[in-house]
Amino acid sequence: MILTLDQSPETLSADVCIIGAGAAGITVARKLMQQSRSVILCEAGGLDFADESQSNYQGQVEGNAYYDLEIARLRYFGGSTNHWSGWCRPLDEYDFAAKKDKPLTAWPISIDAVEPYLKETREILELETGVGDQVLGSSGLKRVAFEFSPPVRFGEKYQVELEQQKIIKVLLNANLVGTEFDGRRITAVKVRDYHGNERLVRARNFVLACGGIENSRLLLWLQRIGQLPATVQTGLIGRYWMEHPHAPVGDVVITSPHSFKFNDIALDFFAPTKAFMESHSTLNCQLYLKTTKYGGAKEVIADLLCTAPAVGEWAMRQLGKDLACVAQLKAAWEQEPVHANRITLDDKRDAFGIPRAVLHWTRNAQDLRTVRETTLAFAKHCARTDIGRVRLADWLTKTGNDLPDFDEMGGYHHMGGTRMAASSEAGVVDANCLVFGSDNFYLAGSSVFPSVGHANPTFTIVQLSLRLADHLRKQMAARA
Amino acid sequence: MKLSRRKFTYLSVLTLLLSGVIFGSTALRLKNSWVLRDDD
Repeated sequence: MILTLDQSPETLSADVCIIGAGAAGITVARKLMQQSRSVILCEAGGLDFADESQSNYQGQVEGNAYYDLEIARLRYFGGSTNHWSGWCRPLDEYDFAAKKDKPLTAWPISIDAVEPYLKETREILELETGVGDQVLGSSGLKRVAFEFSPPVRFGEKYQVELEQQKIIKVLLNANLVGTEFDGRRITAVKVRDYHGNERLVRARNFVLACGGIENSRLLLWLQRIGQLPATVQTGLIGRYWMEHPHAPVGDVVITSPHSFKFNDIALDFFAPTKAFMESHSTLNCQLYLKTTKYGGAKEVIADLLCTAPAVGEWAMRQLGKDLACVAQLKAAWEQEPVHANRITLDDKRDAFGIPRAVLHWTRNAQDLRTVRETTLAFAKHCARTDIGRVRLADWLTKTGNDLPDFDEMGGYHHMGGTRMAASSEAGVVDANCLVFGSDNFYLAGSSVFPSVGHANPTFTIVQLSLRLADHLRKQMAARA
Repeated sequence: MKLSRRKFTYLSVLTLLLSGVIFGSTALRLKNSWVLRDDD
């Protein structure tokens, strides 16, 4: 059932209390519900967008330019799936291992831990089974398969189901404002609505699933006010925050259209092989081509004509025919986990007196190396195999170490901050997403990613959430 | 001027491209930001 806080009973208890009803929280809740476990799912917003909720997402950004934190995510039922674009891909097998000279990119789990949830994740996200990747000769690149969710809006898709189930209670306008704990165990959380109504929710286990910025903000605040178990002593909360930086990297005049496989939305994707990343000391990177309309194509081909008349004249002749012969080349890449990239607490506070988030985010020389080397490899592959000619973006041909600012600064992918690790010295949660130093306090969502590959995060978020629900079920069965 | 290792590597790649060194079986060059074949 779905209740506003003032409609709910004074006393609330369940097997599991989940805070946050986005892709992660709803996935954990539904999986537990299917296993006949009672759940209380606390959503800070209502069923629809409202300023009184959204304004609590205001925050500051320091470092490189980044989106306004209030518009980079959504604070109502369904969370940021209410505005995501639906691009999906699992992480690569080698994304779980440490990349060359980057030990912090290692996950404490392998791909084997999440692969059992591939089929279920595809069902939830309404994806067709993807085709495999295709290595492109000795180029160091492969064509990579992306899948596209409609996109699934978790709130819309699951509202009726959650309303009809008595084993789950969704509390709307239920903002986390405090905890109670006993030793290493959280025993209750206090939630409050916008009119001052409060409820105490008791549970055997608690899952914080508020997103890649809020998980850090709320944990930092709970730690500051002494409402986390004293055994939770990590100083890493908020650290190693990551995005997928985005950039336009060039234009491609396609001389062999059948060599590209543009999908229904006119995109074709490429990424480096593991061997390329190791030999060129790069991280993972997604290059994608998007066909250009006539006006843009004409300018690009005219420039090619001036530079390389033979191929330029050929391309100009194709322009009058109905051929997609020019594409924009864009990149989105893996950012290395850096200690200084982090979430901290501001002096300013939200409507509940909780300090607002400050995002400290800077791209570095590794970012430039990754995007430059990968793009250059693609350009060489196009010319060598005579499938196209690439005009590199000016900043890629300069020797400086600085990346310019772009209109598209990232993918709205908020990852890290509460990274998963093998020990409390290296992370905030263990391989089961349990907060180090706690016995029953778990985190869900992309905040636990210790590294991020190039794939959009939602697919992995759902896989990890299904796995977390399975873990909770086993834990509760063992303790029964 | 002392070049960093990264700058040195990058300049080396550019130099190879500009001088038309054979990559595999195809000579490539960089001109006006275009990565081209020699016969372009």
